[in-house]
Amino acid sequence: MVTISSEPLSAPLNVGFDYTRSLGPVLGRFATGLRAHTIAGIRGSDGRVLVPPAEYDPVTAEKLTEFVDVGTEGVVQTWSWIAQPLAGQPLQHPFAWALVKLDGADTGLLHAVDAGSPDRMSTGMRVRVRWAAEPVGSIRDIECFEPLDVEPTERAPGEGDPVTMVTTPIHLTYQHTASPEESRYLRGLAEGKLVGQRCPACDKVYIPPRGSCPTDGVPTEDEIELPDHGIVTTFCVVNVPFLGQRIKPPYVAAYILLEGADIPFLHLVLGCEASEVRMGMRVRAQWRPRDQWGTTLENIDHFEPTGEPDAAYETFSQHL
Amino acid sequence: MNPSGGVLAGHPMFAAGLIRIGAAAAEISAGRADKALAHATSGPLLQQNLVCVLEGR
Amino acid sequence: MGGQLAAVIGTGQTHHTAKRLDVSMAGLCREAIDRAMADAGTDWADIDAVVLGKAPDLFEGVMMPELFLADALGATGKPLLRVHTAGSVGGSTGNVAASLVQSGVHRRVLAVAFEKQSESNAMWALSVMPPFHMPVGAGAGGYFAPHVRSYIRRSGAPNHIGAIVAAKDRRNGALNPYAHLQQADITVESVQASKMLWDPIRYDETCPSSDGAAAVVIADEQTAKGRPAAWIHATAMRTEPTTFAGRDQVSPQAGKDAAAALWKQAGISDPVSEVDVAEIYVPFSWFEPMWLENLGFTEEGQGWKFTEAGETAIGGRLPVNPSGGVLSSNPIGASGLLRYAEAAMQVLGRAGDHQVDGARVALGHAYGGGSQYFSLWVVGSERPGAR
Repeated sequence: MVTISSEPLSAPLNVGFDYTRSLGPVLGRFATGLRAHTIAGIRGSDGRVLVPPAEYDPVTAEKLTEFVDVGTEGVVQTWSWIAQPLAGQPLQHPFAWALVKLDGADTGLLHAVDAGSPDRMSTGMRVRVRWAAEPVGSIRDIECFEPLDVEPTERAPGEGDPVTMVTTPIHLTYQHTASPEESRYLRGLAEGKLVGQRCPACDKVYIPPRGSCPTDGVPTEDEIELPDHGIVTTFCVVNVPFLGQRIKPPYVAAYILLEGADIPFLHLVLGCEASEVRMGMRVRAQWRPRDQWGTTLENIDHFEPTGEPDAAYETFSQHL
Repeated sequence: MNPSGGVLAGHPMFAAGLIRIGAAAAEISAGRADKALAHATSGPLLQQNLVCVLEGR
Repeated sequence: MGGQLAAVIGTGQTHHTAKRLDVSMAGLCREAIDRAMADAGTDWADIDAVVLGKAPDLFEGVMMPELFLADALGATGKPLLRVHTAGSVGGSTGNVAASLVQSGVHRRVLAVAFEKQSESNAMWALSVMPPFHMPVGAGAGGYFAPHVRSYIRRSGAPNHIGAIVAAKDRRNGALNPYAHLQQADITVESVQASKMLWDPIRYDETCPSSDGAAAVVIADEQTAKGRPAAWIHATAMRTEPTTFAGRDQVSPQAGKDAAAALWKQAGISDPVSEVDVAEIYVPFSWFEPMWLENLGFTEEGQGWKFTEAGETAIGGRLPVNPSGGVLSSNPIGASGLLRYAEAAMQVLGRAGDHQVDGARVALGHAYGGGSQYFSLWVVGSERPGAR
């Protein structure tokens, strides 16, 4: 066992969802206007015209209702050059983020200016909207702003029912890193071994191992190889399908307590009807073919009943 | 100002404010200051701000 | 608990529903806030600080939503604090707001909590599986169902108890105009006939997915005296790890400890006879008897008998969730603050058709994560110690 490396394992974790935003009356009007090539601001309690329109007054918090259309040209109030644009930004070649005070507005709108080079950017310069090729009713209907000396791009406005929703795709790209102890356990799995750790203070055996005992707060170093059989402590039958689900329902999600362990983990039980799964049922791991093994608990495809008599409730009631 | 090196020397983002308070307290504990100010800020426009003053007694 | 007295002087909530597509998150929060401010008779100038609670940011895909909501929350130029303790967050938000008054830091604090579940899909958001794990997770229902099974086995409760709770809470919800589900005709039999989702939890025993918000105005003694007020008698919060060897997943120690601290602080020695009404976080029907035991309203293993005897219905010894509870409306982040607000409404006598007659002492309860966060408060129609 000491041959197993403790170098932390890591793997990508990608999370993404197309969020559906309801805009409400103020932002809905702003988005509807953009599609038609107009830009709506709103008048605040202090008389200022706020662009984009605020739903609630930044000074008094009162609801705002007086819309004011502003111009499609304006002045750069301040800017910052982006030499290497990121995916998802308005332009994929170098551009400036700028606060643009549109004619008739009292606040700056943050957007991209397509100036070609930072030499052509200056505070106080005038810019105009370049509309997107296919307006849909979103802030992206403004493709970007451009200096006035650039030849205007002819783009047709869109039409349709008032815009009430926008879809916002969000993608998070993580590198998930396991702890050194969990990494040893995962490398053990890759060799078909189940490696836990025992707490020196309370003697409880944890699998996966954690490196410290959550009850005693002391380091755990004493490794123990556990057998691949145990009991079902409790379980549920998942009948409900959902987005992102990786196992086809119905399936039995069960807490499996390996023999010699003091904490169960969740796994799948197959090999009998879902209605036959019982608390206390003895089960054994069904491993996938060895050539499919990796550093994951998924090396165990599922657990199956062994057919031995069930464990008495008293023997596992403290694990519920 | 920022004898610890401040955020420019290390920026675990959401811990950076608490580190400022800890660094200010450390100056007092070490006897290098009687009164110290710590500042934390958050938001894409740094629109949320916290200032606290610590004093050794 | 801080030395100063604090009281709820106004509550507000939205009409909870599956999809509020006519408002933004800001507009949703403001509906609840405007109702709470009107109920309290306060104006923005009276509010010293704002506390916002909501559940994981993945639900709406907005990181630190308190910042973009600052205008709508009336927080410009004021202290604004965001609280996050998973599903219990609404309760924690109330406790944090109360502590700001009890400590004497602020005189009037607005507590707001919301969730706009229609912006994404909570089942997806709660089932994101990191690498190396066995992907058997299936949302909150998949998490809690095995522990419900453990409760049933441990207590020997008959299978229909969950259905009794579901039918009772849904019928109560029909008395509450703000409740998402309005099911006056639901019966124990119809609940038992509904689809099994996460065996042993059936469809009708499961909370809905709601858009909604809640708000309360908490004030100091000087502001609250001489006007209708729900006095805060005690608050408590406790936490424990999601898993450790020997953890009691059915009746977590953190919940027991929170309850013990709460009753002690409130001067309550026999909760079941001294509390008039309880708003308890019951997202899956079986959690009513489980929490009755965990909170000390009954002995361990006896909660289901109390439920079966009808003692938790309006008119029983301890009406539980007369508002319809989480089983009738579940804007997750707001659900805890709704329990707190409903408790306050009961002792203020402002609960309308779901008012419990003569309610003078009420419990608000929330739990979150894998039953690892607990937030509680007791409010009363009279000042603490006056009973």
